[in-house]
Amino acid sequence: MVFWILVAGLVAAVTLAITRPLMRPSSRATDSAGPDIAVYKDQLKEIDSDEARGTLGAAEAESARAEIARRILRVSQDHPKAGSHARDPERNRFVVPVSIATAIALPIASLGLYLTYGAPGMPAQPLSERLAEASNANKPNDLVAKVEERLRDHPEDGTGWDVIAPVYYAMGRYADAATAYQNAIRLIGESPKRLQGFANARIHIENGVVPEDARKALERIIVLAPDSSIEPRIWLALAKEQDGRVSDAAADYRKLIAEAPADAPWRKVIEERLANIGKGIGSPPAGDGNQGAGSNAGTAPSSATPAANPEAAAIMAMNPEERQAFIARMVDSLAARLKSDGNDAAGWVKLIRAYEILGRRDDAIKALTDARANLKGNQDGLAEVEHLARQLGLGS
Amino acid sequence: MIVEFGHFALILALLVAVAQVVVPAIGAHLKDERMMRVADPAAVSQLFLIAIAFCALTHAYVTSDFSVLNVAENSHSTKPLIYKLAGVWGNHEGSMLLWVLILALFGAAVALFGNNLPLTLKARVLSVQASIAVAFLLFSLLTSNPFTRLDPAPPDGRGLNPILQDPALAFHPPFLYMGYVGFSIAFSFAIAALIEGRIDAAWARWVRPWTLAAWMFLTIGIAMGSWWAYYELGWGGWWFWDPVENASFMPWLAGTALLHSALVMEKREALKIWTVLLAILTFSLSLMGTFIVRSGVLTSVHSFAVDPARGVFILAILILFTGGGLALFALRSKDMQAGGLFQPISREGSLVLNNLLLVTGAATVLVGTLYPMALEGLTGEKISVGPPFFNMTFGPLMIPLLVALPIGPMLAWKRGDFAGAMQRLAFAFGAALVALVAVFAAEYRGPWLAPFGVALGVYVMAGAVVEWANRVKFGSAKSDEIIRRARNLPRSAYGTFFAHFGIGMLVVGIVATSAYREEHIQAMKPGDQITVNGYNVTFVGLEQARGPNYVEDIADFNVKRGGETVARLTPSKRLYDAPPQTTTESGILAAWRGDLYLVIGDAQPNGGYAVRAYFNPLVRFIWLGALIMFIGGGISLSDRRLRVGAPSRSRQPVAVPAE
Repeated sequence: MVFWILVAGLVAAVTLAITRPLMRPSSRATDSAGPDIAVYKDQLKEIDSDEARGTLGAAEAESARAEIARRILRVSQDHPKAGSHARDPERNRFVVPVSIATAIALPIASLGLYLTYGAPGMPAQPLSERLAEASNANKPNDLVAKVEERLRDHPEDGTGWDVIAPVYYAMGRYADAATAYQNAIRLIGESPKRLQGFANARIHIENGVVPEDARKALERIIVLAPDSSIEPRIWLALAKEQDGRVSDAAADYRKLIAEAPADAPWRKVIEERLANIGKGIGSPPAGDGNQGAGSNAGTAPSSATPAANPEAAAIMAMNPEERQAFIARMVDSLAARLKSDGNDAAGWVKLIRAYEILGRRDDAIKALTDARANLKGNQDGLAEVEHLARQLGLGS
Repeated sequence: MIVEFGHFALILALLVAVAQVVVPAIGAHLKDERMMRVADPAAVSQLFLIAIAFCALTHAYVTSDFSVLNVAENSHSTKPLIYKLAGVWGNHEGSMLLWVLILALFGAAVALFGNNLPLTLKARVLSVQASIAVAFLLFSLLTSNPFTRLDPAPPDGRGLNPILQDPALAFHPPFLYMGYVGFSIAFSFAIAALIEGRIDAAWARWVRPWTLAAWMFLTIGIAMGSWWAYYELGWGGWWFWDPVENASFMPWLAGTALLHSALVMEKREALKIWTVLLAILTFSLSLMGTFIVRSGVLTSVHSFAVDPARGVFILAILILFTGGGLALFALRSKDMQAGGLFQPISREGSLVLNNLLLVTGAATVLVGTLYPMALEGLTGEKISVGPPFFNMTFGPLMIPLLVALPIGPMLAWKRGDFAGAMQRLAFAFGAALVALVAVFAAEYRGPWLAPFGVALGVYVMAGAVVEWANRVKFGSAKSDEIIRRARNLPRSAYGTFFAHFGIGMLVVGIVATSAYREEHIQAMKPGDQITVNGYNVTFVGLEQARGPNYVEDIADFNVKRGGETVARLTPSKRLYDAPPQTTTESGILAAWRGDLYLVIGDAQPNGGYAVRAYFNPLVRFIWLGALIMFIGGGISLSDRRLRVGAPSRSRQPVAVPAE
């Protein structure tokens, strides 16, 4: 209700303000030469002072004065008699209809548009109110603030870190959660729960990629609690897959499935992953195995020779389509990572080269442009990328 | 309720703007004073209504009302208050609201302070101004409404891009927009004059304060943006020639040209047609800047297709106003009489040269900005034009401009005395020569062109001083006479002095820091040392700390010079909570002779950190020069003569400003 009163007040005030000039009886001159002449008179004064100051010679001043005088004359001719252009206001048929139209159109159109586009009656929902409503149970934010306060004073309180870490995690503050778990582990020792929490937080920060420190934590869990370590084992297998050690990952997946109870919820996920990567392992290398990466080996001296390591062997062992799909997947994940963290010259080099090898030249050029933009400040990295670009002849 | 009230106010503002377009235009056509006078209250109401909308959105940001889509997408409950405020315009919808707010602000300023304008001209100016407002309010309400609601509200917002969470960046958009949008007034004046079919010296004087104000704000806005890029992006550069920067630089170049050509028009009634065209072009370039930045063409041609409504809408606005303005220009400009005549060597001639070079410069930047985009749009090929293009094309254009800059003010109107001007500039040439020799002596190994660049900057600075000295008869008159003259000199003369002096400083800073910059990239372990331009920098260590909404790794560097500790620098790397992104904070030791600039990079496998250390000589001159230009604009704006022409019907003069 208050809202509508305010709206009505606003519309009334604005409508009144705008139509007021229309209501006034007025017959004054509408267009006089006054403002123009005021400017020119001032210019004349300026010339006087310039002349007095000596910056303008007498002859120049005279001709400038004549010039301004001509302007004044012309303006006066344009407005021979002040107000003669003005029509008799009483005869202007437009004023009354325009006033009425404005006074009617403003309220109706504004309300109409608002009812179409607005959300009348929808209350504001500021965070403080919503927190107050939710506070009947408990206030997580207050609680967090209290624990944080305490931890600032007593940073050696391991239990405090242990308490707050899962809360941070639940709030989506993964970096804080990782730090808190780390502190808790340092101060009151390792436990599978803390290690797992730390690993989860780190994996979240890295968008699902298992980083080195998380991998170490997961390996510790298996040492500490070999019986209840399904989750770390899944992650570790995934880490192997992310590292490109596909056959190892596949072996781990198989083992997990073999040991899994039939109704385990994660079973299906693992099976899918395995189906994605594991199909071709064990089948003999296809005849044209050297066509893809091999022919480009000359331009890619840093990439290890195929078959020198097991994952390359696994890739070689796939049939061509599978290999293409597998490589494309790896490349895409690399591209995604560089998108979020572009300051990685080695990564860019790898990506550009990969696109080139895959024959996706447009993508290679695009990656080159992106790399340049991302490595703006990184001179060495930029040089590396430019070197590669020249090598591959990717235009400038 | 407040949010909804803001939404309603924005809609009402649109309708008021429509009334402001129509009624005064009819009034001006019929010479009906009552209808023309509707423009004033309409312009003020429009400002009032948009201000309500803006405050309502700000309120939603401050109270973290995530039932507003725009707040939920761009704010976060843990963000510090000032970034909640800055977050209002740190996103597309909010920034468009700021855009129309500033547009309305300028319109209301004309309504309130434009008493010196003829009534019909004022009515037409406000009518044209309101038509721009209608276009952008429609754009805002139809394609990017900041008041779209969400129900139920999400638990927390997505956060502001951390790179934007910085004071200089947070507060430079308002300045930049004051510049961009300020040129709309010059545009409105030009269109009004074309409709009226009358354009003369008085018109130029009326436009000048508005152009000057817009130019000032654009100058300082660009400088703030560049300063931010310098200390936040973490590689010590201060200008990247990227399209967003170019989008603000092009109107600046055209606006600078406009300021100077309006001067000729005011004094001599020459260059009338050219000035009107420049006024239209300057605002068109501002609009194009808005289009480039706001439509999404920039990030990628593909995102343009993601939300075609927005891009197409702004493109339509751009075409309407640029095309409409130019069409009207083509239709009416031949009716205009040519103005005063002048010799090539004269003040007018030098200003024409200035205009030619500035406009060519703007065109160069335009090509360099649009060509890669057009190419990508047409063929999908991505090329980056980058600094080499601009350095090779834009740079050489600016050299004759700078050489001519001190000479122009020395020449008389109509017919100048070139030899005399050169004689009077002897001091400036001398100063430049001394600078040249000094720089060669100090940096004999450097690029051989650079000392000439520094000398050019010094010459411009000295030229500004000479001009002032000349005007107060320094050296030929007695000291009390000099003081009297210095006092009586119009403020606009001081404005010119500061603006030209600032340009000189800017040039010195740019050349020195580009040519003589020192750069070290090194992996450092705690205890390692590095020497940068006489500074002995020791890496003490690294520790973690928690900010309001980020965790950071703060590196500690001890900086010694001549055996004594002069500073401890703490560059850091931040990881923000929401969205989780990293930013670098550089550690800068600022001094007159240059900045020591440290950035901490990634941890190395062997336990060290990648550290980048720069020494940027005289880099402060760049922003100091821009600041001095801004101040010069302000002084010029306070000149009494810009307010001349108030009609006699105004009330008693309230207070006469001190002259």
